[in-house]
Amino acid sequence: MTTEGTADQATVATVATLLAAAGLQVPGNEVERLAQLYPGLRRSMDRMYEVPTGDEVPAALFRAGEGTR
Amino acid sequence: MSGTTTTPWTIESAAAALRAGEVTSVELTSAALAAADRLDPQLGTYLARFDETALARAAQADAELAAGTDLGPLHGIPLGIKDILATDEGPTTAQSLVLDPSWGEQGDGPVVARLRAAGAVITGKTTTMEFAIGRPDFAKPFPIPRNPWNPDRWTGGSSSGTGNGVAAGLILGGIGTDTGGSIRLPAAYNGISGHKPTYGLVPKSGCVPLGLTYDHIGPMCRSAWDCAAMLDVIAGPDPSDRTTIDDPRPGYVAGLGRGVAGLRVGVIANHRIRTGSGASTLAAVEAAVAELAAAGAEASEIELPYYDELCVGAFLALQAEAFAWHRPTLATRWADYGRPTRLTLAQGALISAGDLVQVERVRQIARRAVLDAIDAAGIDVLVGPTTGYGATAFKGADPAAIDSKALHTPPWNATGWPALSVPMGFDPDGLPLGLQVVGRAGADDLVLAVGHAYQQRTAWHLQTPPLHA
Repeated sequence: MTTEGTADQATVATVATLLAAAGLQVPGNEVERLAQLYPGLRRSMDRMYEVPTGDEVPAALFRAGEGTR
Repeated sequence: MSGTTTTPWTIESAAAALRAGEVTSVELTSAALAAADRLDPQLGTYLARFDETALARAAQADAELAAGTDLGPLHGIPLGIKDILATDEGPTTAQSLVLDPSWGEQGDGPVVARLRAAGAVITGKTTTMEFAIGRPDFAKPFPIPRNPWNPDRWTGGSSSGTGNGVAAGLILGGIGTDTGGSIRLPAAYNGISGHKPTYGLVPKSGCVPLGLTYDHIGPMCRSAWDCAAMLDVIAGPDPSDRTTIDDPRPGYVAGLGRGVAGLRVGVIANHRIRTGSGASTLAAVEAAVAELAAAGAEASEIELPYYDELCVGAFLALQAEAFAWHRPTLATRWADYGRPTRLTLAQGALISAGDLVQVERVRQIARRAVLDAIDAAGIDVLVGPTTGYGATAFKGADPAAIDSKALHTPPWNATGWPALSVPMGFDPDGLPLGLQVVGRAGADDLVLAVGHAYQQRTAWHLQTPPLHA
């Protein structure tokens, strides 16, 4: 799912932004490591859009009537 | 194979011996604790031991059995609990410096309470990977679980201590959890049996979550019979977990004798299995299938639709779900997490909401497509390798063996279907290999029966490693 490699600065910037937006304060060397992993992660996610999902609903459960009497 | 052929205790044999008066629970428990005294420093099985309460419960079990009170096959049996489940005896750490010590103050969740009510002797809390994710972390002040077949090799995870504890005879069985393979991988690596039940069959409350819709709690033991005996006790709905389902089937042990005659076995033949497995593993699967065929099963190969997507999607979703649970503490205690753990969890922050929704849409499509495929082929159970290689080395591991493509367990977390790993032989280095048996949702009884039938014809599950009680 993830691949090794040297991250380009644009990827490092993207990853740093996403981590900061999530409220995480991550040291630079670990941002760099996550940026190395990010292209593989992104490819894995993009692959999911190649499946013809139509108007399928996600698997997560939501029951409107749960708990009502 | 470098182990011995000394017949180890199983829950089944110990339960029979207890009732025949050949051994007492105090003797079984004392022997298990003595084995831990000797071997745990090498194996890293335990995070906490409950010697005093265990011996007291064992004595109580002996008295109860002597008085004719029989609580079933777990009565008086020493079991371990993975340290992400709360127990009455003491703290839960999740093998982390981060988990709030007050988390475990809730005491027994339903699974531990059911084991205790069935007379089990809880000997302690077993090691895991931090929060059941990440990798062995030598930088943190916790034991490193090692493989009793070769201590330079990993146990697999994350139910590491339960896996090596059963294999080495420190416990007769135990509880593991499985979000992407964390019961089945250590079962395979340690040469024992491990069952990931149907999603929702076993309540998860009282357990630190990882992937909220991918988590399963299940048994790890020597044999499929033992797993069935534990599942008989821990399965069933509980109001504390709204994802639990009712299961109207009769007992799992009671269903073991059905055999495999006439059963249609689908051998998973996807490219990912073939390229993600070593030659000795594929040969062992072939031999295992031949064994099932000799017992009357009809085997045929099947290529499953969206198999790769189920593998990849499970990793993505569990990272996102795990991140959601951990974000508050990742934000405030980043450095207290182990590096492998925090880097894995933080990847969940790189997955967008839309991405996760798409993964979960694919999950629905893929689950139905696999079901349609096996329905069309008339297949009752699927089989394949649990993992592509034997236990990986801590240093200098074969890159193919640590590649995520070598892990063949995640699809069944995504579908929520039952999956059992049973020992099926050894690799050229003498390390155990696991056969995975998968059924439709709710077919835990059938999966366990197939494992049991296989173990009636083979003795891989009774081999003991060089480090053994």
